[in-house]
Amino acid sequence: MPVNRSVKPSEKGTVQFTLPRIEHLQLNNGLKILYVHKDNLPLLQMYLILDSGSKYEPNNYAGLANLTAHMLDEGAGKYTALELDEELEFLGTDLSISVNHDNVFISLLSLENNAEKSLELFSIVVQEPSFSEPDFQREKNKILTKLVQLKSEPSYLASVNFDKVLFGNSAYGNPIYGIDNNIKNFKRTDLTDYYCKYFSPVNAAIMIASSIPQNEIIDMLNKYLGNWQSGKVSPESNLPEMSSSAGLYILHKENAPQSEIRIGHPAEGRKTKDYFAKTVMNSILGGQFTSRINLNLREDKGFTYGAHSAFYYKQDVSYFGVSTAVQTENTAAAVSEIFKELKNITKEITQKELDFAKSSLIKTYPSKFETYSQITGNLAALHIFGLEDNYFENYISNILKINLPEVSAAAKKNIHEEEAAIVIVGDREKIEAALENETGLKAKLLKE
Amino acid sequence: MPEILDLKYEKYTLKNGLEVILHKNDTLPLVAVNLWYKVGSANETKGKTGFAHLFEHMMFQGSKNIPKEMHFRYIQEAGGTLNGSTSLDRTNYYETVPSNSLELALWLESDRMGFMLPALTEEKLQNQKDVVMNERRQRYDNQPYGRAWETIFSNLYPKDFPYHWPTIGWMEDIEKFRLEDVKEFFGKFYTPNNASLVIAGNFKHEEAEKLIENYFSDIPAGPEISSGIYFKPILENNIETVLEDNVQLPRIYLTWLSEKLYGQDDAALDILSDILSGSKGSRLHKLLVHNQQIAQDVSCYQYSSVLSGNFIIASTAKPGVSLSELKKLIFSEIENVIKNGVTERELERARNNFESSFIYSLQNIDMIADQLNNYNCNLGKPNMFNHDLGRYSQLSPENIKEAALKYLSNPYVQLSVLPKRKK
Repeated sequence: MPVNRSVKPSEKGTVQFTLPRIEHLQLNNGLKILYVHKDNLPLLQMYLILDSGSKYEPNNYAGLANLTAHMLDEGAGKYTALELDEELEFLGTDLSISVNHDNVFISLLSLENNAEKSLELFSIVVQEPSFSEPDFQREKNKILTKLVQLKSEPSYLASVNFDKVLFGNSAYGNPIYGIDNNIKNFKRTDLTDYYCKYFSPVNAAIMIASSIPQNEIIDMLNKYLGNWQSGKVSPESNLPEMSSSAGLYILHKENAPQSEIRIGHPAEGRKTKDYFAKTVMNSILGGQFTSRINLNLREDKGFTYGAHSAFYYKQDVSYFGVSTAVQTENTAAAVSEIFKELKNITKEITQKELDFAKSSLIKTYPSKFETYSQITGNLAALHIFGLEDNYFENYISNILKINLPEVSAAAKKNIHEEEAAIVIVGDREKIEAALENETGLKAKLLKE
Repeated sequence: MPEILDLKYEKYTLKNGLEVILHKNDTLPLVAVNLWYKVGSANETKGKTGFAHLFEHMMFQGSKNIPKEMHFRYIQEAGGTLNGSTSLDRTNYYETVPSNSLELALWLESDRMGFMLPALTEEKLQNQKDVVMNERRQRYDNQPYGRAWETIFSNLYPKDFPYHWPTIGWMEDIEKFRLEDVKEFFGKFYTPNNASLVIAGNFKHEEAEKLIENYFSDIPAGPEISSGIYFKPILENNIETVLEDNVQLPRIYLTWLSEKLYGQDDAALDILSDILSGSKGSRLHKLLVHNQQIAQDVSCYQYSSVLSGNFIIASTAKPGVSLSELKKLIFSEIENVIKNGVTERELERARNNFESSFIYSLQNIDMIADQLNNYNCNLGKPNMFNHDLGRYSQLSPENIKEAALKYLSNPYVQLSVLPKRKK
């Protein structure tokens, strides 16, 4: 029988969803473990998270954390860089290392069958990196070349310059990859010093989602990481002094067909009381495809392929930012529309918008626990921001109870268009006058 | 053969020709709806490129019963995620929703399959034309090396071969999109008999069957689509071409015509690409990046599609190194493989990698759904995971050597992307 297509179908019943149970465990040397048992596939997904991100770099050592971390699997224990790679590849195991301002992440994805051998290699990488001189020179050179290449990546340039404008000469203002003039002066011993100081079990925690039962995985980890010795340090980071960063900043790219735009300002941290209200508010403003900013810039004006906004949380600093890329001739118009949206969100939010955002955030929640790496990623957020275990259990009720006054208050408290910095990477000659005219600001030029 | 790769399914065809595949997986309360239309940029014609990709945009602009923007809104409100993608030979549209919203997803997919044209207006077309032009600027024109692939393909394939142009289309064609052409394209290709629907995840079998019947069976079949007849492309001589771009370092691309998707040598060429550049210790990486350190990176792809395949090697020179130096060493390694073959250990390493990435890919229900559709559309049966993996396990080192000889000793297209000279 044909259906009545003019009526949107309603949901059939409610969805039952059980959150994974989080176990807090410890190795013999005190190393903290957060473990979730998940066995729909025979996998081990694991993150080792170290408090050794780039914010701990001393002055004039921008890039030290990144290079140190990336040297870990360039030779360790009895293995050369290529031998290590060969062993991992042969197992079909992925070992990867990434760095941000706060942390170093060493992640491992392995089939259950190969878990023990993979963990053994993982433990060698973590505990016995070689830092040989030729490997150091090769990797240092690679990152210097990478920095040359990035001079042609408009979105990268916009993002690192936005960090610079917001957080100045602090470690949070420096790019993770570092600064070429700093890196050129690195010596091998700078890396080994940084490693000895910060890559230690007292600065670390492990997140696991695996089909391997808890006692078995703990036995294996004790065998391979339980004797990892602790350097006793309390990390000290290089924090920014906050000052106003409002202004218009342009990085010139001759003949750029688009302008990369970043607009935003520092914001309150992850653990503020109105976190959930902010999350709902941003979902209305720019967090989704159907949010105000994207609908305006893309679906109404056709200025861009996409535009969005977010609160970016780090351990010691946070910021609010809007990002997009628009065709050159619409740069000033796009900036003006973004500012309109920032102003409007503080004036009015409708009940309909609120209901929509809440529905979307709540109902999409089970899909955030689908893959093994999503689960370890969620565990990582608990660890990094020191959230309570019941955070996930309470998430839905916390979103559900946000009302219109709260979401409106969150907009007024957290969106400050008058304090926003505007960073543009684009063709200065074609956009500067219109931008100055539109914003009433005198453009400051950024250097590459 | 791993048992977990043996996915259970049911397949049937509606009277209007729509193929339906149901696969149950109750891990989470989610259901993936994945629809393939067997239309890609290869179904376009010269001067009218970019239509299939344009539809990836227009299909989210509403249909007879769905106002503009509401397709996205309804799915997001229900807690779903959604997207689409376009390749040379197919376009896919997919959403993953909580299992109690399966009907919503089917309603939306069926409405745009059967009732799209009444809602397709000039205003929507003009808006999405602007969006697509900005997508092209962002992803190709303002991206270092972003125009490399379209330059290679337009040199590798003759003008009338349908892989000659990029899936997003040429900018001058996008600018000229006309509503009546767009409508005609839709009427021809976006029909139930040219589509395949996969439902994967947590759902009740009979309920799903009934909903599919209710929402899709009254959509009339479209005209039969005759696949064009194309001669196997041949490259008679080497073509060397140069592109100046906003890049800092020169990069060389070497491309050979190779085996098509799932053709006899396709898997051997996949393995060859892994042995040449799939890891730090792979041959070209070891030679160029690790030992000699004259390249910043090197990568190889066996990029295979329905009508033809391409084997591509790309490598970026370190500052001060010439592309001819890279080229010389790349060819010396190809010669080495052709002459001396690869080792059993190299082959096994590559095979293990393919096997584990297969299992890793089963973590996402939307990836499972898409792969079932891929197998159904390209191999005629949805559950071909083990067959697919078997293509790799049955290879011997000799097969890899033979494939290298058969394809990589032929003429090739050489593209050099160079930094723009300063004025």
